Amino acid sequence: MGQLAQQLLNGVVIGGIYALSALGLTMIYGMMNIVNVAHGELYMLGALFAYYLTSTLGLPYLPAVLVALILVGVIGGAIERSSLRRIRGQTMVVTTLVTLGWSLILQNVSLIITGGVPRYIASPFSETPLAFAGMQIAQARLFAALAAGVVIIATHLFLQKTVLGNAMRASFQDKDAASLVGINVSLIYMLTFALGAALAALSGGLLGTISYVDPSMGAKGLMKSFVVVTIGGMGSFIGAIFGGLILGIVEVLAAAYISSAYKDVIGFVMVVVVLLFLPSGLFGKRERYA
Amino acid sequence: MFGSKLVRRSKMLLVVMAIALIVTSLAGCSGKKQPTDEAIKIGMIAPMTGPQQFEGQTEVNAVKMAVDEVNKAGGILGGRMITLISEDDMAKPADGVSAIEKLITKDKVVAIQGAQWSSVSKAIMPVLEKYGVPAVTAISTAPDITEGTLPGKDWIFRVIPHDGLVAGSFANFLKNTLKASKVDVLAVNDDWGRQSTAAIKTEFEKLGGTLPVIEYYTGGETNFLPQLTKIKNDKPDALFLVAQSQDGSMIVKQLKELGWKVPVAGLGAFASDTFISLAKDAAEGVYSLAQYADGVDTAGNKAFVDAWKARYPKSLLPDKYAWGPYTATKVIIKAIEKAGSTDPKKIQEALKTVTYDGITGQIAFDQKHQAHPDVYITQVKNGKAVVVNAVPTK
Repeated sequence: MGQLAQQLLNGVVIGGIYALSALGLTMIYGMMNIVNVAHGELYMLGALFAYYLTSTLGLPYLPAVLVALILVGVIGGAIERSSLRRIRGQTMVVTTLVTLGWSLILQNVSLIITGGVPRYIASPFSETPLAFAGMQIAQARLFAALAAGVVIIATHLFLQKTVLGNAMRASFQDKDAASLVGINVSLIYMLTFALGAALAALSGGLLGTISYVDPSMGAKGLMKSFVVVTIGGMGSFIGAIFGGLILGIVEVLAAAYISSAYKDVIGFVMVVVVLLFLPSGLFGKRERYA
Repeated sequence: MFGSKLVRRSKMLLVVMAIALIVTSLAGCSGKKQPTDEAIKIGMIAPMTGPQQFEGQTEVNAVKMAVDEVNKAGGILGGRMITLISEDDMAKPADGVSAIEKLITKDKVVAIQGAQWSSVSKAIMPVLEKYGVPAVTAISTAPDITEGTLPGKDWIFRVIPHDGLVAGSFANFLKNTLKASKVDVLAVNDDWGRQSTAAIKTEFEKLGGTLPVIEYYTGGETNFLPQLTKIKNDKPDALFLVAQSQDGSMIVKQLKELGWKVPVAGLGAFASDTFISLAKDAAEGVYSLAQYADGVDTAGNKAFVDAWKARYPKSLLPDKYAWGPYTATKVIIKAIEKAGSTDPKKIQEALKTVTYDGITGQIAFDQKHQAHPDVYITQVKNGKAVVVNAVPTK
């Protein structure tokens, strides 16, 4: 039974990281109604910046992740200001195509600049795993999962309890009314996208010590994030948490007891099953056709 | 009003005409009959985007280096230069086929270096046959490319020993040197991973060993803990891996995460500088069966490593992704010289009997178009892949 406990621990930890990587995606969708296909590339940029800040500038790991998050936030803001603002209110097809364009641009520019060499961010954590009750967990991985939990809760509180968070939610509920009470709606849009980008970058920075960093890593991250938000429900925070944990646990159990070669397929099978019974995911807003 | 519109229109017309002129003059180039002093076109396909793009970059760099060396030395066939045209196959069979179609029909290449991934090589073989253009592959090690009865096998040649050739010596090493009788496997889920696992299984069971747990993972996977946990639970004497450098580095790092010390032996890129620099401490002690390692002690290899360092000072030391395509390209060029012609059919004939004194020894193809250079058993010691012994593949 030792194996099952170890597998579940693996699943919960990776699930927490999945949840964090899907958070920015679900937030941008829930508030701005944009399916951000460039989400994976923003996550990749976070990891790349963190790598260069630690290796070239010699910053310690955590400050490097923080700086990377701010840089990517700025890039996210610039993307919103330069292109998404012009197509605000257009159909989802248009916004998805524009973010797809950004995804290709960011991926290929990174490829040109970095040459596509895979790397790991130097981890400040000891390589000796923590052992308890016959289970092992790497310190870097545990830290990433705990940080994911803290960040998800903090983001939720920020949106619910702060003035800026309220302004954000108000702007997306009713743009005109928000303008009337003096909210600069355009600025709010830009900040929201920047926040979503920063969250993606954070998960990239946290994961870059565990899995290697290269310009093509975004595509894999995006697939997982999409599975998570589809299961959990697009736009739902609680859905992202549950979606991440469900995917993490189902993946490890499928790999351990069914077939490791097809564990990714099983994630998608789950998406299909969830959508069959709950078209908007577990916690998604139910569409109302009035 | 009207006048300015006319001016604008005529300006537009001029621009359009200029573009049309440029396009037609470019198109005219390919239609002309080739004079004999024209450059000889060699094509290559490799994954330049996607998860395997890093290896692909090394492959392209290696082929470029081989071509430039020959051009610097004055070209071949009486001073004709060689032009390399490379296309991206994303390591996907379908993209490989369309890239080959383009190279042959549009660029009119006379021979091809590639494909790199086994599944892509198999997909392009019928296309090579259809147009009658030979290819020399250097990374694809799935046995059935030269062993089986696949369509188009007459048009592909292989400079690297395939997995069937090396399985016996590696099984022997596992059983008699590592003294392992129960070995578990984690291999990449593709042609190469499955075939080399099958080959090792056959050979290892002949020697009385068992492989109770065989796990496969999808290429580009980032989470190997489920499979490794399962294998750890099985308590084997050794772990056998089939993986390329990036995946391999993650596997050995995640082994450390589970706090499990077990002898690791790998097939793939476990002797490469890339793998070692990625995996760092986790690479220490890993055994590998390598078709090439930068530490191979031959004069040809020393010259090759020095030339590589001089040309690509920023890149890591050469690995099999550099050795293989470089060797294959040199073999193609040798064959063109031997044929004394750029006719693909004649080049194919010449390839059958060509010999090339390569980096680690002589390359010559047997009846099945397979070359037989030595392979090496290496172990990572203090961050270097040290050659433990060389194994002939004849």
